[in-house]
Amino acid sequence: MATMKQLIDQIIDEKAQGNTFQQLNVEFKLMLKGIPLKNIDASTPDDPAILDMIYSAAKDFNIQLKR
Amino acid sequence: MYFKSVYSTQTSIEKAVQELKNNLEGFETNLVLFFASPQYDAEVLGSVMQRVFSGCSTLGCTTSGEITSGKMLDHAIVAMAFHPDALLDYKVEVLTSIRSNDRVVDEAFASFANYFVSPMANMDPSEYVGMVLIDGLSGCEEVINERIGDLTNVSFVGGSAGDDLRFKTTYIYANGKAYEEAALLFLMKPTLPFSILKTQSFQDTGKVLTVTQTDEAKREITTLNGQPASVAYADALQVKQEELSKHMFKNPLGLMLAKDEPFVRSPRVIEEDRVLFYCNVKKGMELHLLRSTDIVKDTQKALKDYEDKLGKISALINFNCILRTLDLKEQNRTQEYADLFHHVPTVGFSTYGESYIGHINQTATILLLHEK
Repeated sequence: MATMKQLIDQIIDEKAQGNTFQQLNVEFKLMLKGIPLKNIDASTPDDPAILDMIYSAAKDFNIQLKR
Repeated sequence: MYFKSVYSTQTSIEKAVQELKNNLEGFETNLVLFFASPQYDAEVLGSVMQRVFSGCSTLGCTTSGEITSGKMLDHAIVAMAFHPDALLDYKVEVLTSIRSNDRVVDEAFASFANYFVSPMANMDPSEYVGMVLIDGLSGCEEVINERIGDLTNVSFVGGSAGDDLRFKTTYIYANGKAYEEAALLFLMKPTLPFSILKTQSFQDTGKVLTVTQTDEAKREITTLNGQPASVAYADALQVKQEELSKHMFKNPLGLMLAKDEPFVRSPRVIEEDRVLFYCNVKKGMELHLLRSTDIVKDTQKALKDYEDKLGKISALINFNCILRTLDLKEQNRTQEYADLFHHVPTVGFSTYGESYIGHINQTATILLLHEK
């Protein structure tokens, strides 16, 4: 499974609400939470530790992720 | 004129505050933001500021050096008075017991939501901006900034209170009181357009160090690239391990997203093979080795770029890292730096860390208010 990129994109879309400046801010926020955004693309296999961080970030942002 | 900046170097609190008041004669204000040297008794200063500026909100913190239009000072009080028309509205919350209460930001935001009749999550970041001041010895900057960013898209900019490098006590001032182990959130709706400038004077060397073992709570990296942290850091710099501490100041590490836009993580000290930082780092983070560039030129260019893009600056609040100030002092260039702000009402201070999206080091985070 390679769902991490899709989940991250969902978080960015929902939190930034289409604002490109906010998209960059959300990316910084995710990186500061320890999510290695630059190393994750659509083919990156799921890593349980990173998935935990992604779900935790979604919870912090009050975002419901759809798989 | 919406803003006026003043300062005093008087050592007597009464005389210093009276000098601020005299220099604001004829300027109508309802809010005074001030940054003060720790040489002044904090409780007395807070109280005297509120008495002399009665009817105004008085907010601020202690410093490790003060900044006003055209001057970088030590052992002074700098202040910016806001005209009542400068802000359409504002609200201040003091966060106390910040080490033990992990709900402080949520509680402050609930108060903001109640006051502005809108949840913080729904507030328009183009209409509102926040300022955050945090006890610079609390170690709480990461938690507070992260929670702010979780709950809102409104930008908060600020810095960590200092105490002239004594590392004993810092204070947050609000409406007549001085608080220890505290933070202040100041949410405002400015009349003027605004922006936030984050500037740091470093280039990416292209060398990457991955954090493989860390103690986040202690802001300590144990290993980088699987090696003892100081060994890997020294190798990347191509210096002997025993010489690393001499080079770290000019070569901190940076978390990069965009090119030339690091979130700087500055090393503080080496203990055995471990490297302790001024902010936390997480396991797995890829940190880029940075190389210092010219603070004055870089800041000048950044200010010009913002002015060209967003219009003339009518006032600014500068949270300038103490490490930048020390670097400028070492080069005898504080006046050159201060001159960048001589033409505009300016207030600021040398911080123990800067806030913008997260907690950062060796950076200036600046709230710019532009002309309409």
